Amino acid sequence: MVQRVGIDFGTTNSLISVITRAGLAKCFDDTGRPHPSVVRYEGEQVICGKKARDKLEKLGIGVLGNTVRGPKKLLGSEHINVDGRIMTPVEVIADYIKYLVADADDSDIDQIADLTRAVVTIPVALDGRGRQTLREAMLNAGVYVETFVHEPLAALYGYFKDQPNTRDVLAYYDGKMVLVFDWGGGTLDLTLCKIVNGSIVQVLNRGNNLVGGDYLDDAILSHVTDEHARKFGWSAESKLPTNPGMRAKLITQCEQAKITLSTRDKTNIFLPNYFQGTDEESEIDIWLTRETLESICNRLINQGIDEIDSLLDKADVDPQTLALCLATGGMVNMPVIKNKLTEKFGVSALHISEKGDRIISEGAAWIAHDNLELALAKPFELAEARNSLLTVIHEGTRLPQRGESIQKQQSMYCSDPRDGKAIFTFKRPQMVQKSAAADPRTNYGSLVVEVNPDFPPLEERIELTITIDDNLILHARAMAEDFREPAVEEYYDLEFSLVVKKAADDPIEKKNRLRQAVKKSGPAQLFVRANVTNDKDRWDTVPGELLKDYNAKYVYLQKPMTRVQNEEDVRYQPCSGCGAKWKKNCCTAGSVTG
Amino acid sequence: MTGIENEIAEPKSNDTEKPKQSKAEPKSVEQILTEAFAITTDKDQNIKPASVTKADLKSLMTYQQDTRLSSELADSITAAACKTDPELKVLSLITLAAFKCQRDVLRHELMAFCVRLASSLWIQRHRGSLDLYRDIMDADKGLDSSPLTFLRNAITEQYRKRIDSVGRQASEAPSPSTSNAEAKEPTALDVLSKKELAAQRNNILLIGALWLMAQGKTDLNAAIEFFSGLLNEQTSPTQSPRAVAVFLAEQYANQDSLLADTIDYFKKQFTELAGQQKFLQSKHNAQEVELKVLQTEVVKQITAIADKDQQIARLMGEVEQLKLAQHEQQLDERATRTHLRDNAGQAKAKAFNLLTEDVLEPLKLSLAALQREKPKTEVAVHQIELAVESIERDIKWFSE
Repeated sequence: MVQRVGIDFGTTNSLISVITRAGLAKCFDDTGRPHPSVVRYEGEQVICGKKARDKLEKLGIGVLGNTVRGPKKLLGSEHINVDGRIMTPVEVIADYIKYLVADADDSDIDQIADLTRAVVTIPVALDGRGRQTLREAMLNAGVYVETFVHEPLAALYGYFKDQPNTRDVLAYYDGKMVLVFDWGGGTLDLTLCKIVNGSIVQVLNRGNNLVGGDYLDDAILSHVTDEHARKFGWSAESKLPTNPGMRAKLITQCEQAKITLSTRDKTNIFLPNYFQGTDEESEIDIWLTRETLESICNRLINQGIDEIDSLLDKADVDPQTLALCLATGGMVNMPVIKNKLTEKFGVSALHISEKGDRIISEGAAWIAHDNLELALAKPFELAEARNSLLTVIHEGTRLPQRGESIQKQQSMYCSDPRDGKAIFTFKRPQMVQKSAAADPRTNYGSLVVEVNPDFPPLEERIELTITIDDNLILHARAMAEDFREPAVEEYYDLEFSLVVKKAADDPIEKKNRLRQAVKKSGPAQLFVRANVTNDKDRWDTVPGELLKDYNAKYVYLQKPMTRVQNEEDVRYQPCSGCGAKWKKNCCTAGSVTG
Repeated sequence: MTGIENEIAEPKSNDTEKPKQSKAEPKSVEQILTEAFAITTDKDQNIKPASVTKADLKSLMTYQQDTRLSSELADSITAAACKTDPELKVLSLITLAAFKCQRDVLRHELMAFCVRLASSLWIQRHRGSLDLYRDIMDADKGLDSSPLTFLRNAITEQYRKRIDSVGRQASEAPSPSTSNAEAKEPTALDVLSKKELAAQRNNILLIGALWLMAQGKTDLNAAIEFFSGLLNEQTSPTQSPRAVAVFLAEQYANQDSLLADTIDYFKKQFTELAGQQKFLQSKHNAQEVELKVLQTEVVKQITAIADKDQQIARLMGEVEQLKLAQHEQQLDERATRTHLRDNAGQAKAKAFNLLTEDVLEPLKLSLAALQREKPKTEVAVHQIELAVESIERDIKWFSE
């Protein structure tokens, strides 16, 4: 039986892997290295991978003349201009994936891999549109995406599978927090996970596209050329032009220097004929020390390390309590980063992956091999009026695979239709397994639906449909039955769990509604107050002054008012003493105090 | 009982003159026949049934002259017999006597006369046939075991329909209306009861059997069986062994050998049948034994087939398992081959990368550094050091 593959479609490098029957990973690489994510168009010819990279003249990510470096970065674009040729990201990515698949097919002499079906890794920050584009491009290249999985999650699973006994390791880490730190050439991705009952559950994700290793190489190159210019006293005008093709070589030297300085204190960057000329000025001969390198990289590295702090702060987790910090990607081998990570997490918790350039791809292949399912890590909740929380999709819900989707429908009523807007606010608990009323929540966002303002409260029905598609994007669609103006929102920052050990379904029906505790401490700020409920008889959710009007208008349908509603009503009344609008202690006769 | 015996009239006191007359002048055949069926009435003006004396019957048997019996005689006797012998009891006695007639021509004539009379009196008389038996036998296609069987079946079937219809009529209209009775006076033949019809049927069958015997168309054994069958119907419901014993004694006293012959015939038949039964029984036993042997053999074969089936299923299962194992082995081999090739590829890639990136490039750079007017030895040394380091690192990898 041929095995589905795992594809790591990275910004700088990409790799296809498969797990063989021997339980070992086979990577379809290019002479021991992942394929550079570079596509070059020369007339009708499409050149990809190492050959395309070696011809690169310019630095950076994106469209570089007739070459696209890191096509993943183009996922959000509509059209791109590649040397005068207007293309779509789908076309460019499909060209690159075709190359990867063809190369793998050539290498796969024994036909052990099913290159038409794949688990594909994506960065945590890839939005819904990007996922759709990627799926389309994969399909155009003849690859069906079975499921998307976040890169750090794949890396962590790959790490666990590399251990002698995965189950034992998972059992050891059960209930503990794990940080995956993937610092590659293009991006820094962070995922905080918790191992819960044998499942790897994402707690919080964070990504930064501006601290990738490529920026570091760029900084080193600038430093080297600046040093050279300083050595020969060049000004901006007297600067010699660069020989064609030499920047790529210098970049390679800079990369090499970065690696050399991880074991040595100083290294030399020597590149003859870099500049146009004949004498010594044309060749670069610069000595670079580890201190210099660290000073060059310091700002960038600190930014990266700060991302860890921000993530842990947000999740309210002490770095010392992490059971494991798995560091992958090319950057983490830099001594300065190693030191900083060791200092933060301790020697025992920090694990720097030896196969940082392939662990994500292998992890994806393992997920494909083990046929793992993704589940929702945290419940998807809807905030109702009066701070109730209604769970629309429970945590642990299996997420759809290729060609599937899950849908939940909920009828809601607007308790305050006076402004013609019903507000749906979607939330999730900040931590996994912490979905009690008092636990802190994170907002997904709000969906504002137009309703008929002339309707009485709790009268017009609003149909809310929540759909999660196979791109793991959540679509929230709501429409008032009378006003019939649909409102749609998409949320792609769902957190997932990788279900390694399938637990028996919990027979106890989970509680659907919680009353959220309102945090009164902290700075005062504006926030959107939800004004919907799923219960037509929840008259306590209607604002007091509105219910008062309603009771006056519909004498025979009067509803009792709660204490809070009475207070709300009174607040909108002019002061009986001075006739002014409500104000704290407005006059001695003030009837209500705040 | 057909009641034939009752129809043989004993000499009566008021007929004392008749034997004298016969002694003086023997009756002609026509006379015997006419008298037998002649219509006479008793004191209540009831028509007396036909009767024939033993002497007349004997006369018929021993009559010494050939006589031709005219059709007028037959018609006149038929008209009388309609009323006096509707059950054909007397006719059957006469037919029997005719059959025993010693003169061939007379016998033939008498038989023909009896058959004609029977044809004019039986239920299908309206057909106007002169020989009902010939008409029936014309339809025989030889499908039955014997002509007698065919004849019996044909006649019985025709009478069954009539008897059934008479039974239905009796239940539907128990008393015929007076007007109908006045409109057409029914003959004795028209108002026969079921019992009378059954008696008539048996006598018709008897005459028919005698006719077939006279024609030489039936086997005597079949005839004996047929007549004994008829006799069976006369078995008394209150059988008296004493009466049987007395009857046998009478027969002995009369020195009538026919009964002895009959008994002997049936004894022989019984012995023969017993022997045959014994033979068949032994044959049956032997066949049963053989059947048991064959059944045992069948069971054995079925068990053997089931065993073979099981064996086949087991072997098929083994074949499937082996196929699966072979397939799995092939897949394992493919995986092993892939990894071996991958290992080789990794080693090759490592060597290639080492040479091109970690050795060749530094060496080129060292060479370039040394080829300067002022050789950059420090740079060259550094690059060579890097190359050596890389080689050392990779040699370690290769040795592992």
